[in-house]
Amino acid sequence: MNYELKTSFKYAKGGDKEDATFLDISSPSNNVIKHVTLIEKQLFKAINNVSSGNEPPKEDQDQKLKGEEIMMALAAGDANLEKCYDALKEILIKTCKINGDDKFTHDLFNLMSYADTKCLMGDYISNFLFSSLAD
Amino acid sequence: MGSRIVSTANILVNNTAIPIVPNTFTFTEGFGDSTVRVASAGNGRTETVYSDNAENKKSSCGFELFPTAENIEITRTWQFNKNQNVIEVVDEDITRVFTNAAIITDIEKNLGADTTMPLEWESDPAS
Repeated sequence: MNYELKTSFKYAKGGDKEDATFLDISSPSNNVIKHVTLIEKQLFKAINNVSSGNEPPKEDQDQKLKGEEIMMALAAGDANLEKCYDALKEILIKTCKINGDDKFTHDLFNLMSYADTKCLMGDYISNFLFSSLAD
Repeated sequence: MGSRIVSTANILVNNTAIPIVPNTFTFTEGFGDSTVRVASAGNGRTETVYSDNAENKKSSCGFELFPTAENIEITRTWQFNKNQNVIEVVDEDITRVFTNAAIITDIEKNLGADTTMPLEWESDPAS
């Protein structure tokens, strides 16, 4: 999955500073199983909380949820977003390349904008986790 | 509010935070040497003439690491990178970036319980 950064940031590459413009994220393997399952648990919890509330369930179950919708569901469903973001950070460190070929590090996560982190979380769940649950 | 000595800045090498031996980080800004000479202006008058020596417009920085297996390996990688390293110093109120940084000495890797590895770098002037 490719994620275009809304706010680019500078990172060290080949002795100089360069703009990070996109992230290339590979699908999760068992290398990140601990972190992926944590997000899944929070997702289930949120879906359960939302569907047991007043909000009607989605009529078209086949329709793929968008990242923003997932983030809204997570927030509305009282998921522990802080834990989810921590898990996302660990996943990115192991599965993500900046601009397609440079290692993503803990400190680069700190440079990413919150807006990008939020969108990326939604897109990641939509692409890799929610789709696999729906299969 | 009182001022604070910068002593615990975050040191990043190639996007990764490096735990260093406390109080060992030093750097120069890379302004180079400058001299002020005196010219005779006649009738006993003099005036000063300022000159910049571009030869020394480079930064140097240094710090020490503990000789852990991880540090021994990572320093080897930095040396293989030649001058393709970037060092960043980040503190609450101050940031410096040293691009095209190279380790200029063959690091003496002292293995011992209370030893350290001193690293000396040279780079573009700090920005």
